Formats: sequence, C-alpha cells, structure tokens
Amino acid sequence: MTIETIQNEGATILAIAGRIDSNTSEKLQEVLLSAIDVSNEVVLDFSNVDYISSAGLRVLLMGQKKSNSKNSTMDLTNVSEIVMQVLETVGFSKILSFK
Amino acid sequence: MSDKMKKSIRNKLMSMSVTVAFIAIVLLSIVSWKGFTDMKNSSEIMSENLVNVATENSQKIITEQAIDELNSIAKSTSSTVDARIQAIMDEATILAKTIEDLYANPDDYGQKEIFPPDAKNTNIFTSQLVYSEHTDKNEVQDEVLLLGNVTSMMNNTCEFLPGASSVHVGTESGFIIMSDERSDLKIDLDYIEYTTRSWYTLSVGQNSSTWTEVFEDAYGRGLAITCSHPIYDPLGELKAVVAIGCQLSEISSIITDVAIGQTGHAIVVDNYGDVIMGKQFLQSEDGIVEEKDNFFNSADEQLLEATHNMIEGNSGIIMLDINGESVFLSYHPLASMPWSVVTLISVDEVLEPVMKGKEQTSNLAILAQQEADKISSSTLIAMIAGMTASAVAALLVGLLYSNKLASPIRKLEAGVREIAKGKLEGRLEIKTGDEIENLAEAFNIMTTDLKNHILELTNITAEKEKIGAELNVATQIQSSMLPSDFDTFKEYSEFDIHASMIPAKEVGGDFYDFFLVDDRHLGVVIADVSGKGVPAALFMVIAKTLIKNHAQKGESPSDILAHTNNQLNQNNDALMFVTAWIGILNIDTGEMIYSNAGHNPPLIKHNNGDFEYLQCDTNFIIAGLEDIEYTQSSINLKQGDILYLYTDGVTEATNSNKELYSEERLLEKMNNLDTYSLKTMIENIKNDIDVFVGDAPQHDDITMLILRFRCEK
Repeated sequence: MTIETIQNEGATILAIAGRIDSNTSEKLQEVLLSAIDVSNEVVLDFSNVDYISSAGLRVLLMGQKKSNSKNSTMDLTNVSEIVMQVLETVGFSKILSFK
Repeated sequence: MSDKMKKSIRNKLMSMSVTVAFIAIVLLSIVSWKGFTDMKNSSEIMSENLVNVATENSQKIITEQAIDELNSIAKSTSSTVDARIQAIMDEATILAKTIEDLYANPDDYGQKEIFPPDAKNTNIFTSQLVYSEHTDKNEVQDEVLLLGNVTSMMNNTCEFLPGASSVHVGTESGFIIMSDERSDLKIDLDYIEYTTRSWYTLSVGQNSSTWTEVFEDAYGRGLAITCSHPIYDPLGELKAVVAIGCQLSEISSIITDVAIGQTGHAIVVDNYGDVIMGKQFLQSEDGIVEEKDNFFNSADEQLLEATHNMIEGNSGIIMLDINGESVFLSYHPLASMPWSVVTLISVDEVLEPVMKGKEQTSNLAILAQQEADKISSSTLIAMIAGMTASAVAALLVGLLYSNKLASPIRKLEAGVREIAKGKLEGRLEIKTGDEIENLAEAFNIMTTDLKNHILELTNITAEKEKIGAELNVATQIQSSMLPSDFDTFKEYSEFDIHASMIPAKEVGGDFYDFFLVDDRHLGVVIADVSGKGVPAALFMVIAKTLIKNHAQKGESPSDILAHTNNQLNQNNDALMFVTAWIGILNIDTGEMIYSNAGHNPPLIKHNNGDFEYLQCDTNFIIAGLEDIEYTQSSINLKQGDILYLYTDGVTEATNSNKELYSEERLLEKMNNLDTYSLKTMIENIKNDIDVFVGDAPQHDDITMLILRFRCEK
C-alpha cells in the first residue's frame, strides 16, 4: 500500500493505493491522524483501493471519531464497488461521508 | 608417519625453510663458483699478460739499448777511422809543404844522394830512386839531390805513421822517390811510368790531399788506397805529387778490433757499396784477396735503400735477414771519406737476455699459478664445507622453528576440539606474542560470547515457552468459553445446531454463541472482533458476555446490539469494534427475529431449496460509536430450513494468487453439500477452504455456525 499526500486549496488529499489490511493499516493510521491534526478538510481518495479489512475499517472509524471531535471533515472519494459493499456491510456507509 | 602428520604445518614450514635455504645455497654456490672460476681465469690471463708485457718491455728496452750501442759504436768507430785517415792526409800535406819549400828555396838546403833499389835494404824503410823511361838523368841531377833532403822524413812517415805502408814523391821532371821496406820487389825495375797512376793524375790541378779509389796493391798485399797531394813551385807550376800508400788491412784493424757482444762486428762500406774493411773483408792465407762483398749485390730492399743512404752520407739503422739470421745493421758516414762504418749484431743475441728473462718470468708465473691453484683448491673445499654446514644449519633451524611455530597451533587445535565438545569454560593460554596468540585470544572471546549467547538463548527460550504455555492456556480458556457441547439441547427435537471456531493465531477475535433465552426461545450469535490475539480475545469475552446478558434479559436483537454497543464504547480507547449477527428463534413457531451489526449476511436454505443470502438491514458495527440505533427483521423458518452463519474468515480466505474464497464460491459449495450431518457440513466447508488456500498463510479466524429447524415437538 502507498499513500500520496496532496495539498489542494486547503484540503489535504490522501491518495491511497493497494490493500488496507492488518499489515498496512498502521501506516494509514499514522498518516491519517496527523493529517486530521493539521488540516480541517481531509479527503481520502480510494480510487486505487481494492480491499479493506476490519483493521482498515478501524482506522477509518478512528479518523471519523477524531474528525468529529475537532469539528473538521473527513471525506472518502472514488470508492470502488467492492470496497463500498464492505463499507455498507459493516454499516460504515452510514457514519462516513462521501464526496 | 600418517598422512596427517605429513601435511602438518610443522612439516610445511620445515620443507619451506629447507627449500629456501637450499635454493639460497645453490644460488650462492653458482655465484661463488662463477666468481671463483672467473678469478682463476683472470689470474691466468693476468700472469700470461704479465709475462708478455714484461717480455715486450724488456725486449723493447734491450733492443733500444742494443740499437743505441750499435749506433754509438758505428759513430765512434767512424770517428776513429776518420782520425786515422785525417792523420794520413795531414802527413801528406806536411810532406807536400816541406817539398814545396825545397823547390822554393833550393839554396837553403844541401844535396843528398838517393839510391836505386838495393836488395840488401829489404825490410828496411828506405827511399829508392827510379826514373821514367825517357828521363835524362843528368838534366834532373840537381832536382834529385835537392829532394834527397826529404827522404829521411819520408822513411819516418812510412815506418811510423799508422796505416802508411809507402810514401812516394813522383816529379814532373821524370823520377820518383819510393820509400818503403820492399826494396826486394824493385830490384829488376828499370823505370816506372808513374804519371799515369791514379794517385798522380787525381792530384794534378788539386790544392789539397786527394784519395784514390780502393785498388789492389801492385805487390799483391791486398786492398790499398793512396792519399796524394800536389806540389807546386812558387810560380804555381806543378813540380811533383806526394803520395802515402795505405794497406787497408792496416787501417781495418780499427774496424776488426771492434767487438760488439759475441757476434757483433763492424765493417766499412765505400761509396760503391763495396765492403772494404771488416770481417767480410776476407783475405786468404796465401795473401790472395777474394772478391769483395758488395751491398748492391743484395736482394734485400732494405739493404739496398740503406746503401743508397750511406752513399748520400746519412746514418741509420735497419733490421734484416742475412743468411737466414736476423741482424740489426747500423751505418754512419765517415767525415773524411765517402764511406760508411756499418755495425751489425744478431737480433737473437740482443734478445737473448730478454728470452732468458721471459723464461724466468714464465717460470715465476707458473709457480704463482700453481700457488693460486693450491689456494683455489683449498678455497673450494672451504666453500663446499661452508655450504654443507649452512645446509645442515638451515635444516636444524628449520626443525627448531617449525616445532616452535607448530606447537602453539597444536595446543590451539586441542583447545578448539574441547570447545567443539561443548566445554566452554576452558581458556586457551598461548603466549607466543604473534598471530597465534591473537587467534587464541579471539577463540577465548568467541567462547565467552558463545557461553553468554547460549545463556541468553536459554532464557529467551524459557520465556517464550512460558508465554507460549500461557497463550495455550488462553486459547483453551477461550475455547472453553464457546459452547462446544452440541448435545446440550438433545432433548430439544425442534432444532439441531453445530459450530466451529478455528483461530488464526493462538487466540482469536471471532466468537459464536447459542443459548436458550427462555424455554421456547433460542439465541444464536456470531461475531468478529477487529484485531487479533490477546487484546481481541479479551474484547471478545466482554462482547460475548454483554450480548448474552442482554439477550437473557429478554431484549430484542436490536436492543441487545444497542445496549452492548453503548457499554462497549465506554473505555474503548483502543477503538476495537465488533461485527455481530444476532437471531432469536421461537422454536415453536419458527419465527426468527434477527439484527445485523455490520456482519456478513448468513445463508438460508428453505426446505429442499437452494441456499441463498438472507436479506438483512445493514447496521453499524458495535463499539464504534455510541448511541447507534439498530434495526431488526424477522423470518419464518419451516421444517428442515437451515441457517448458516459465518465470519469473513471464510469468504476472505486467500490463496497464493491473492484470490478470495468469496461469497459466490461459498454459496456454490453449500449447495453441493450433503446436509445430513451439520458437523460433516462444517468439516467439508473447512476442508474445501483448506484445499483452496493451499500453502498460503491465513490471518483471520474461521468461524461457522449451522442451525437446522426441525419443528418436531
């Protein structure tokens, strides 16, 4: 998994590519939480994410919780159908915001 | 000696040192031998050269000396001859002047008679008067008597002047006075025509002494020569000629007396190249003169050239062969006559001392060479002895050093063998001060490190074993927390149930549960805690307990989830969450109320139909956020209907090609299964998953639960 950080008009875009599983989620956690620390608008670009495990879901949940607590936004964009199905299965589609 | 010993370092060192020493000795021998023979050869050449140089030098010096002597003898001899000749010429002049005085002043002198030759005067120096054929004796009477005054002087000259054998005074008027000791030869002499003689004719018109050519004496006494001088009257009229006759044999004693070494001698050569004095001037015993030698008769170019030089009045020296013998020939001109004194000496005689010297020098050189040979022989023996000693010394030193070097290595080897046996306490004590000591020290350090490492490893292993044992215990505890006695509800013919949980690690985050809520209601739960291992297992225990507690209070599935969610959200700093599916079955009616918190939808098989995915409302997971509201649904189960619950460990089992087992594959497999035994079904699905994933490692727990509604009461 790779993460590319792009600053775009005040928004921090994290372009993620690959599988988000128990091996890679720690890296995403580190990048995402520090991005939320410094930016009020974080966008997770899921164009190239083809799999997300429960460890990955946990990171998204942590991000959403932190974002909620500081009243900033965390949005997911370009989520593939397979990943969306997972997010829907676990009910995450209800608590996450999509762009 | 074994092969091992043959290949030991000691032997290698030994061979090496001996080889090096041997090569050094051989090289040294070659160099020494080369130097030695060179020295010997050069000494031979040098002594030979020495002999040659000495010989050449002495030959040169002696030759030069001989030549100098030869030249100086030629020169001195010519001076002596010159003096003798000059004396004769002076005498002739004195006689002539005396007689001129007689003619000039006849009145001052008396008259003295001169007699004809008389036999009784033989061997007495006497003056004898002889007339020409046509002389008028009376007419010349006064002149004869006047000249009689000079006869005693003529006799004296003849007797005492060295070289002179006769003195004649021949007059123009026709008489001749002859002074000699050979009256006997003139007794029968009536008259003499002397004016035609060369001594007379040569002197006519002259003013000084004149020499005739060498001629043979009229009386057969050998070669002779005459010095004449004209006599004039005061008016310049020739009156007479005085002549002193010389037998060359008498002058040549000067020459023949000359002795130069053994063979050296002198000769006189006249202006015709004739040898007129000296040893070659031969005279037989009976007085007959043999034919004269003449240098121009020689075929030797050098001699011919030298002879020309002599005639021109030069001096010089040549070396030539005479009768097969080499001689030095020196020539020097006479001042008084156009003759040359020639001195000769045999080259062999000159060089004799040189040859003797050469022989002596050669003998000395041979002696020196023999001495040198002796010395070189002893040097050679010393050299061989020295080299043999060196070889032996090299062998001994090699042996000593190789032993000295090899013994600590052997000690090291023994020490290392001990270490290899596992005896790590021993230390190698090698104090050689070199690399072997360093190596031994390194071995000691290695042994210590090894000992420490083994100790550390033992501790870690013990620790790991302890943890492993504890985890096993945890796994057992976890397993024991999941209901495994499927015969518990044997008396309930309304349903069958079977389940399985296979953790990916020692303890997993999945769990299933089934229990009776009350006498007529069965609760079934399947859940998946995010994360693995001990933390997940602990969270699972809490979640399972809470769910079961809420269920047994009679709460609906949605309430159970909502309450459990809120309770789990408290103190959930690790942000773990749980997906769960809960169903409460009325075993009398078959109605099942269920709620799904983010879990995989179960498979349902209605009697004799195919399995299909159960439509569920999707709710948020539990423990993620507080105050979530969960929806619930219901389904009516008929007799024989089968409900299959599973976690994502089933559908997300991954093979080495990163392919998921997938819901489609699960559905297909389920529809091909014999449904007689729930236990066999679970085993078959597990086997199918195992076959699918092959050797690929699995990271997720695999949990399944199957419920069959029988409706038999």
